[in-house]
Amino acid sequence: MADLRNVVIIGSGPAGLTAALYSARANLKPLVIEGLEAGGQLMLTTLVENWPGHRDGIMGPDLMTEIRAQAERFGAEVIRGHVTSVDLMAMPFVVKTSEAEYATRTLIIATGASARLLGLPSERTLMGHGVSTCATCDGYFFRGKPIAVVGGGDSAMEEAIFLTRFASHVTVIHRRGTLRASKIMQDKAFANPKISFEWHAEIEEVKDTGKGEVTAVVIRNTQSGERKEIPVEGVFVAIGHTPNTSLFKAQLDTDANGYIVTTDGSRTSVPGVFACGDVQDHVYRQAITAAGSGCMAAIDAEKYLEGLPQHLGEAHATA
Amino acid sequence: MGKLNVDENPNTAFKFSIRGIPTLLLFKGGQVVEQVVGLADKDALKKVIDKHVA
Repeated sequence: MADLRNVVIIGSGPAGLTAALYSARANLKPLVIEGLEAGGQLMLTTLVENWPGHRDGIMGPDLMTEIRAQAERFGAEVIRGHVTSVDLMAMPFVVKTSEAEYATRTLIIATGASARLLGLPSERTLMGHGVSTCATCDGYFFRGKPIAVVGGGDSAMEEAIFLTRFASHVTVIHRRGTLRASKIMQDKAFANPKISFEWHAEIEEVKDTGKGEVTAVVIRNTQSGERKEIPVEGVFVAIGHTPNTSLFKAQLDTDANGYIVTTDGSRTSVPGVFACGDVQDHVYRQAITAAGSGCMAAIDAEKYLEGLPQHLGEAHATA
Repeated sequence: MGKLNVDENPNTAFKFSIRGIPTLLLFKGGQVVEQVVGLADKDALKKVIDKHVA
């Protein structure tokens, strides 16, 4: 068994790194396990204009580099690695990556949320071969090509508008008859001559899995049942996010949508386990609220540790 | 091992039909033998490489 830690933090977005900053300053020497998507969703954005203190905005990746360095300055240890399993029934808790195993008195979960997919087999096969969830990352590859964006919210409109910089045409495929996006985003999208809409439409298949590249989408009108094929070379899926909670299934209470339930601050259903950021928040989902909840989790973890008999974790750690 | 910034080298990216980043191409004898798109952990990458070094 590895050393016994006071605080292990899973995830390195604004929530995880702010939890690291606060618990490092409380002299708890936190260990942050970055995860595959190190830095979180902000690493895929460009200019962040609503982070307080940067009046002219700051680039998402720069912001994450700063917060990370700030946490490290106070003694947080940030390591590469992807957690493969956790045992929250054990005391201390056990956290495993493919490389190592950690024992910890408290665990802060900041695993965030990832782009939701349609769930089609053809979508999975062609992911990275024309199907993407990140316009900022992959839009560039579709210069002069027709593409489709799936979804009707703000992020779908943002992607559609952004992609008109590259694509010859953008078809927005939405399963409802109206957009959920804010008025300002809707107006921008409707005014863009490169964007057209397919209403009440669901994607049935992304072609062509045989060729290993996207050539078209088959859509079905949910009202008339009519099918048609739209030739596109890229499909960007922007239908929201799902919380990354698969590690904690059956170990922590989650709500109907899979988000970790937190009460009384950042406390989860297991004492000593705290959650912050998008993994427990489907309402605000902002960098600043994630950071704020990360701070709460660190303070809650510190309080919990103060109330814990010193010997408790250690006795079990050596057992 | 070579690293390529697709923004600065669009021709090479198009030559290998790159449609997403990050993309990892494994070459053997000058030929592409594997393509991994997206993030992958060490174990997954090991498996991909081991297939071609045996």
